[in-house]
Amino acid sequence: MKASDRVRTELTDENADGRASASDRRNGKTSGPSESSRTEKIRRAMLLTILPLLAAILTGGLLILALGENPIAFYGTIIDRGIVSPSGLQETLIRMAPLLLIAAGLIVAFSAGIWNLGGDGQFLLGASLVGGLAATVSDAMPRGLMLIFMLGMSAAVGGAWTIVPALMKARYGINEIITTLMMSAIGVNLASLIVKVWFLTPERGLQIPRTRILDVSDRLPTLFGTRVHSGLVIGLVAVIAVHLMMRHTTLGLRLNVLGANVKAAHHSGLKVSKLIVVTFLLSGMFMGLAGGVEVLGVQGLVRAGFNPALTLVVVPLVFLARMNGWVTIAFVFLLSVLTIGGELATRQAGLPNDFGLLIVALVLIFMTVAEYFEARRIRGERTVWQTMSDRLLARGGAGV
Amino acid sequence: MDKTTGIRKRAWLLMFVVVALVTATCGNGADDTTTTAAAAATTTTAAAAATTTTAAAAATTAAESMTVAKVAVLVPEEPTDFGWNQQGVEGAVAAADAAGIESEVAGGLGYDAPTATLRQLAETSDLMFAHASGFATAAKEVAVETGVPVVVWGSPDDREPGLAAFVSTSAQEGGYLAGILAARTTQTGQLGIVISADDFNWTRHSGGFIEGACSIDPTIDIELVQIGEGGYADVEGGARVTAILIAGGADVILGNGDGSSFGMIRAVETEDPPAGADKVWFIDVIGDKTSIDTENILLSSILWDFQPTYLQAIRDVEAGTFGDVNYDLNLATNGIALLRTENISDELWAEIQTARDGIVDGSISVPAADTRAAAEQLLGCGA
Amino acid sequence: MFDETLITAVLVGAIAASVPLMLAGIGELISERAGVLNIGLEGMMLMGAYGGFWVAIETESIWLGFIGGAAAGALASLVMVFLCVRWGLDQIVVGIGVLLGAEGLTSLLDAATFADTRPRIGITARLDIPGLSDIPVAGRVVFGEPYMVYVTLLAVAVAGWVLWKTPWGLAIRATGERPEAVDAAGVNVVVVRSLAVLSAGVFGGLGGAYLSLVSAGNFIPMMTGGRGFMAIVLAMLARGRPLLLAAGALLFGFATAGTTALQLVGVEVRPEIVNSLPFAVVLAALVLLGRNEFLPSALALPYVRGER
Repeated sequence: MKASDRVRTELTDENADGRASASDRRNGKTSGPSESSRTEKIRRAMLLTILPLLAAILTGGLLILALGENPIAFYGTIIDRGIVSPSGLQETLIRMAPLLLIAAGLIVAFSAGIWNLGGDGQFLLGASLVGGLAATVSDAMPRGLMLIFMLGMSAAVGGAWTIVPALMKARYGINEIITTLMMSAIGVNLASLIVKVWFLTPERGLQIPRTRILDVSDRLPTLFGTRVHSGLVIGLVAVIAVHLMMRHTTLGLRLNVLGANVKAAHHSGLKVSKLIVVTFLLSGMFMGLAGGVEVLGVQGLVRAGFNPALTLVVVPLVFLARMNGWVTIAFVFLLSVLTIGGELATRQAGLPNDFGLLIVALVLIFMTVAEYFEARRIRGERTVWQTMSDRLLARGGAGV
Repeated sequence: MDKTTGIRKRAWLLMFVVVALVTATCGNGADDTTTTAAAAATTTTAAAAATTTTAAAAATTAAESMTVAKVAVLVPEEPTDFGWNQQGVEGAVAAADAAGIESEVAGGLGYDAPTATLRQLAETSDLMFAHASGFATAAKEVAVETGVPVVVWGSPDDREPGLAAFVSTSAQEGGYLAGILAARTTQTGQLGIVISADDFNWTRHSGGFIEGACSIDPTIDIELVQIGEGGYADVEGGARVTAILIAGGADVILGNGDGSSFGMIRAVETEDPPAGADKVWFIDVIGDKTSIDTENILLSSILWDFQPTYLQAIRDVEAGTFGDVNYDLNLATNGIALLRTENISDELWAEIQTARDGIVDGSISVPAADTRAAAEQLLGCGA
Repeated sequence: MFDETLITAVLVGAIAASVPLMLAGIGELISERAGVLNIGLEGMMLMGAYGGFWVAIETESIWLGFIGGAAAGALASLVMVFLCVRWGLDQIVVGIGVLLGAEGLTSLLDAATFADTRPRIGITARLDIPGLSDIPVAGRVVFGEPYMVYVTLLAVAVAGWVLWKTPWGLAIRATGERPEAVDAAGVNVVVVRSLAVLSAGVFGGLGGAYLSLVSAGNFIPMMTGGRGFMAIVLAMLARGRPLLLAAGALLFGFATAGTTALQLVGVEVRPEIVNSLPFAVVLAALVLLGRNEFLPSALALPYVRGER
């Protein structure tokens, strides 16, 4: 058996739950009959999601009660606004678009054991470039062409911004947590600077520096007569494509190997340096694309200092979803519902908008606690953190 | 098995990408031609907007008169800052009260994603105050989409009959009066200006302030410092920068900031006054912090009162003339005023009032410095 | 322009800006050496900023305020202790959970307590050595800082000594490299890591409290503005050497205060460029100094006895 085949059978995961069965081997479990059935797995996964969600809701509810407000009304509003009401649901879906793309970028990176924490910088540079050019370019070419061009550019810029940390890691083994964070900070500043210097709109009398505004009619087309722009579809496709790629393509396999064990990657004959750079580029491209989609779909412009800082809150979602694309989509939906519904709910309850963050925090914590109990129940199985940490340990900062 | 599976899988991927791109760029033709007409495809519109079919504002037909039952005001921070956010909310709510109608407040929205909230409020409001310069574009677009009129802080070009009106502030007029006050109060002959960002309103204050001070004392020394980029809430920065100005000799500080003003105030309260002065004074902007001035350092404030303008907007919507003209906060309309505290003597107040009259009747003209660079050019009193 | 009071004020501002980074950084450094990555440090700082401020306002004592801040930060870190050290859960997810929870909680508390009054803390007690403190510039900057500055420097020195010259420090560092070896030697890994994480909470809380009590004298929601993340990066760069951490923090403090100084002197540089410089310098330094180990091998790995 070829080395790559051997590694592949160790790592290929047919049950779509993201768990590397290589770790099962390490724990002395062989594959086969000890794997639970697919329905059993799905049932367990739903339990793992719904129970902690309920626990978080309950705890949040107690807090709301303690503050003298009505928790039923609060959560009712979240659900009504975020899911039930047609206009609210549209807002939720709109909110999901950039988050999905960011999630796709994170799944690629984390699966390969690459800590791309520079998403915000990559996002903003993609956004600024698109915001700055779109209106001008749309004067010169038909909408469809302009959109493809702009989306491509935002992805390219996002990817380009990862080159420095990518090379530093690939060539010198320099820890990317630091380098991506540094590049992000620089990128945020740079994005604002280029709006002010290169892409400032010629209009006068503005209160804040910004780019030209892209006409509503030139933005990403909306779906089926709603206000939801096709960025949502791009995002969904991105996450699903990444999910499938990681499981069914050779590139995905290689990235998984890289993420699981760098030494195994070397010994399998994989060009690790090249893989590292490819991972970074892919990840950055999704981040940049997220910025482009947000501008082309919703904002239509970029103001100096624009920074929705979306990356931070997507990171735990991707972890909790165990890098599974479908689960990620569900979690992103949940987060968007909490964001959109939460704004109205906190407003009606007379609570500060930031209160919604507390609810999100509770959800994150309870979900990860649930995973602990689950892992303890199934002896020998490692939690997703342990798997991810294995990848971190395998690299240990000492270079690839 | 490897290679063919690999290729097949790659083909799937390619298909997905193509689908995505196609959707991205073609989608539903339905919306391709929508320009400023209220999008027929969108669902709910505000109940009251049922009468405003004139939302096709390319034509300049006047809007029909409407009953205004409820207004909404949106601000990026929580309205507890004794500044822009709080004044805006209080002004809008007071305007609604004066008109005998309901109001709803949406605060803490942040700067980057107001659209969802705007649309939600449009479902129940007849007029919305998008009280932040970052909200202007989104508010205008929602107005066009839903037919619910909005008051925006963007640019004069945002105006659209029946749909949108722009508010500007002749902040420099208030700045001028504050400059007179400062020049008359300083013991060291040195003034300081802090701006939390390179913001049009702050620089207008500053430009007017410089002109006003120079009109009293052409040899006066003024320093202008910016905390940083978007340092509106940078409390530490406000404290640090103000301390530096005081150390440089300024004994009257004009502080332009939202949350950062509290840092500036703290520095004024705690730093040693410069040589030659027995006290450092602070001139605030937008709100009235008298109630929290525990150390009595508040000399005055360039007050912004949004109530009259916002009330006028309500009236205009009711009369069907909304969007025919833009609004401006200035001394004449009492949108801008200098706060009189106990620390201003009668004679000095009279002098300030005279200047105010001069500005209102046009005999004194105060230039508007729209950028920091423009304000800085006025330093040195034109020497 | 080169007036001494002015220069003094700039330098004082630089120190005020660097102290919160130094304090939070020390805690994070200890935690990381023990193998726990505290992404939630920013949340601990924020809790310390609020908690310290609240206690100081209520008790009218800044020192009690610092204790309150440390306690608030420690409280937040307990979440990490139980979930990550004891139970081995995802440090990133829990860390971000702590951060978001702290943001939501402190905003809520601020709305309930300070929103209507916006109280300020007055001047903090400063060191005053007759003679030395009167030297122009250096007198105030070196000998006239608020007491907490000297406490911070002392903490840096003590941390360095403990970490590198004592058995406890060895235990901490070993726990970050080879927890199984530490375990085999009879030292309880969970206890060591718990203490390390708690110290991150305590120092993070102190850093936040310094921000609200001394540097700003106010509490405003979200006032930490990314300093926690900056502290995490500084701690990583310092490679376990508190002195390097202090140097890095000072560098950032000076860069921050420097932007004001440049304006006064009339140097017109785009603020975005000035703000980016420290980060670019770090990157350049990394390229030049390149291949060294930055992180302990067992960083972010939960330790489960008997595994591996």
